[in-house]
Amino acid sequence: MNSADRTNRNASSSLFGWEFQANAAIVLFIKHIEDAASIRVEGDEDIQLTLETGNVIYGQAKARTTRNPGEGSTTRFHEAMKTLAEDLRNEDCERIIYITNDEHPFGKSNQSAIYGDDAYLRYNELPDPARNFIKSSAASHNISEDELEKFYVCVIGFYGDDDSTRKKVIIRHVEQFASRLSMHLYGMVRNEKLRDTWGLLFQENASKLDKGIVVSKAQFVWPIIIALCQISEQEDMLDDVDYDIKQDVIAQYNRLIDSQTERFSFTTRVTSDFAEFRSLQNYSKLKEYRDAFIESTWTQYIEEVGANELEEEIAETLVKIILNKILIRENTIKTIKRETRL
Amino acid sequence: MIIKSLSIRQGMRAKDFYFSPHRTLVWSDERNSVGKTTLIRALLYALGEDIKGTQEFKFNKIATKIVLQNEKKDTVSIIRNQAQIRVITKDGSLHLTLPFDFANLQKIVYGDLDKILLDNLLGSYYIDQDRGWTLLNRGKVIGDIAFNIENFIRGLSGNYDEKDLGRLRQLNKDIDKYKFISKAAGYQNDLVQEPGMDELIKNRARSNSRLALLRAENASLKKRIARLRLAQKDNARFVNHIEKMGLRVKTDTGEEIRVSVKNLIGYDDSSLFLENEVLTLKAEQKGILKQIREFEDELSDKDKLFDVESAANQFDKQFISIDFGTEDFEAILDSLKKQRSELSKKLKEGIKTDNEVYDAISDCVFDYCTKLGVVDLYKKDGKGILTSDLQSKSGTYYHLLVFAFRSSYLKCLNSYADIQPPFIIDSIRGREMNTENFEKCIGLLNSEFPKTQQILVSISQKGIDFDSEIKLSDSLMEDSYLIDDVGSWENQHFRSSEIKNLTKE
Repeated sequence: MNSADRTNRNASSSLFGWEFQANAAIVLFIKHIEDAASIRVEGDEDIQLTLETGNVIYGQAKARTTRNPGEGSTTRFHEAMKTLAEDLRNEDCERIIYITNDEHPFGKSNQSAIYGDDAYLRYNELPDPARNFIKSSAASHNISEDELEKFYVCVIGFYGDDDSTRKKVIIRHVEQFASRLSMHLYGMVRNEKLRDTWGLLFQENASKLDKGIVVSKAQFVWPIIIALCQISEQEDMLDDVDYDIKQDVIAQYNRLIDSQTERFSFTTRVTSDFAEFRSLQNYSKLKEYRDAFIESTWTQYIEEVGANELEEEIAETLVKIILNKILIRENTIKTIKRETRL
Repeated sequence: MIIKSLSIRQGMRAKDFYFSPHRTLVWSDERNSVGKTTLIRALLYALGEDIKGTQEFKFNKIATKIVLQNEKKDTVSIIRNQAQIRVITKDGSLHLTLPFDFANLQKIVYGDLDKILLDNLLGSYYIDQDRGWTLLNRGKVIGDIAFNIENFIRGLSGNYDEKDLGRLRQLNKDIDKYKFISKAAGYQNDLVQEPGMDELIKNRARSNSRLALLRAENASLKKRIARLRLAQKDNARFVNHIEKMGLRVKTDTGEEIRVSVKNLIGYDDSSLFLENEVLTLKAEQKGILKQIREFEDELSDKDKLFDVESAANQFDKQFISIDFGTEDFEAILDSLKKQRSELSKKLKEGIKTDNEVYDAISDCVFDYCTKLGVVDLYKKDGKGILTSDLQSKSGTYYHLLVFAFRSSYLKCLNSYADIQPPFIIDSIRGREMNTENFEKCIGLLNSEFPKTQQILVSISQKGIDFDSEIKLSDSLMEDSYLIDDVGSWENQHFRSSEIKNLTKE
């Protein structure tokens, strides 16, 4: 696609359209997280998801901005096909995807019941009227039906002024993604928060976008690591320590806890000590290793944590909380990276 | 202290009044409204007291010059021109400004006395024509100058706990404050009853408190982000330091590797973790900022509801948003009053117990009441000199009781503070004072205060012996003289010949 065309289409794309595009990119990334390497989103409704193989999934995100489903949907599809047809010619093209928020992606007359507000279907799965409609549009761009095997349609419900209504389907995808991860805490992730972080990554509210945004897999996966760490640090917390004292210490020393768990010179010492400890002991579960390590070594860290002036009970709780947090964080990072093949 | 003379200057005219060290009678030959009371008040005004003058004779239009012998027996001249005071002593001249320097002026006149005593001094030697004859042990002496028997006793005995008094003052302030808040909350409640107002307030208050909460959350996120940024920098510095050290390690295979950021296990994760924590917090912050904007818009929309706004409307609108909380002000007030009453009781007990001054005043009051024939009235409620039950004491003899109390204060002031201010009584022959009672009062003055300077005011001289007199026939400034210039009037302080001639004319 030449730059003059891009500029032209840029001018017509609304803020709403850009927001939809950013959210479509999130959904697409989630769907391909295991194989994805990065995603590129541009101001002209282009989404390019690069896979680890080097191949690319090309997408066109077209948003219906009116209240009436189906209104202008065929025009939007034809416009998208113009670009997708060009993308299909690229050697690295793995798929082309038409992404829309319209439950009638191919016009009102072409059976819509199967799309609803959440669908991801390939050409061969579509009913005949839809296939015929796509085929004739593709033919006008010299694309044969065989080539349409690479064609996919993705419908994502995205409408309304209310934020939570508009992003309902997106959140559902985030939720499903989180639940795919094998950690037992996924159910507690605040999906809205995670989606908001990704929205920020994709600059969904940018009023003006000078150039495309590229988000790497690492960038995409890390927010979920953060979300999971926040929960697991709270949940997997030192069963043996008195709950009230624990809460008091967290409330009173939360800044100290943060700063020690953020200090690399300290965290690397703890994780190295733990690795060595693990190699010498024999427990069946990681939690058992962790608890045993904390119990037998906490006194070694009192001074470095800066707790030597505190009452013994407080100092003990404080050091244990810090060690636990560091070790849980390390494990969460490892697990998610493995799950997402990061 | 002995007052020797007073000069009042009104423009370029002045009039001088001279007082005997014993008894001076200010009288008017059965005529009213000729300026007797004004003269007495001018005397106190000249001593620096906060006294306003009378309707016909405004003190802010005059200058006064009083010559007196202070408690140290030094002659002092005080010139007052509104707030400006010039004091001339044998040591020189001193400029003071009221009310800030009032304590300094009092020190010159009375010497070093306890502040509490100085605050209650005037009530012990001056009986005002209007309010003086109703003031028994607590109340106003004149204008805003108060007298309180407990404080008078404390000042005289020096036996009191400043902390307790401070607490009492604070309680009084709190009580005033809660009375005010209680009234204000009542007014707000009235406003709420106005049609259409209640919804507005509820929503507005809700929006306001939610807004405050969101702003606080935003501020806290900002701080957290800043701390994370700092941690990132510290970590980068640390790793940089290690890299610069050029450490090399040998692996199990014998390969030698230089330690660098790239092969430092865990550093990447640590730095990505912090980076993404910042991103997560920023996303959260963005959501909060959006909500803040929405609330701000909502509040500004509400403001538009008031299209025509008078100052009073504006006040109501702002006033209605004040959150008075859900406290029960009446209950707080009750509790404060209870505390005050307990503390007052404790303080009162402190005054009564083992206090020589208290005992002396009580004995003196009893003695004078006996002499004046009102001892039964005094004993009626059994509460002695600290009584607050004035109702039981009202009646014809009340003035005698007042006279007994006030005379006792001066008597004990003489004994315990060793100072002798003049006894200024306006007017000894009050409206309700019959001849018999009047004579009893004069008798008491004669027997109990023979050495005290007395300045008595009376409509006539009948039945009163005196050493010097000031007779007013028509007005205070009658027979005034023209001065050469203000400077010379001020400086003619020690016309010793006149002062020495202060004898019965």
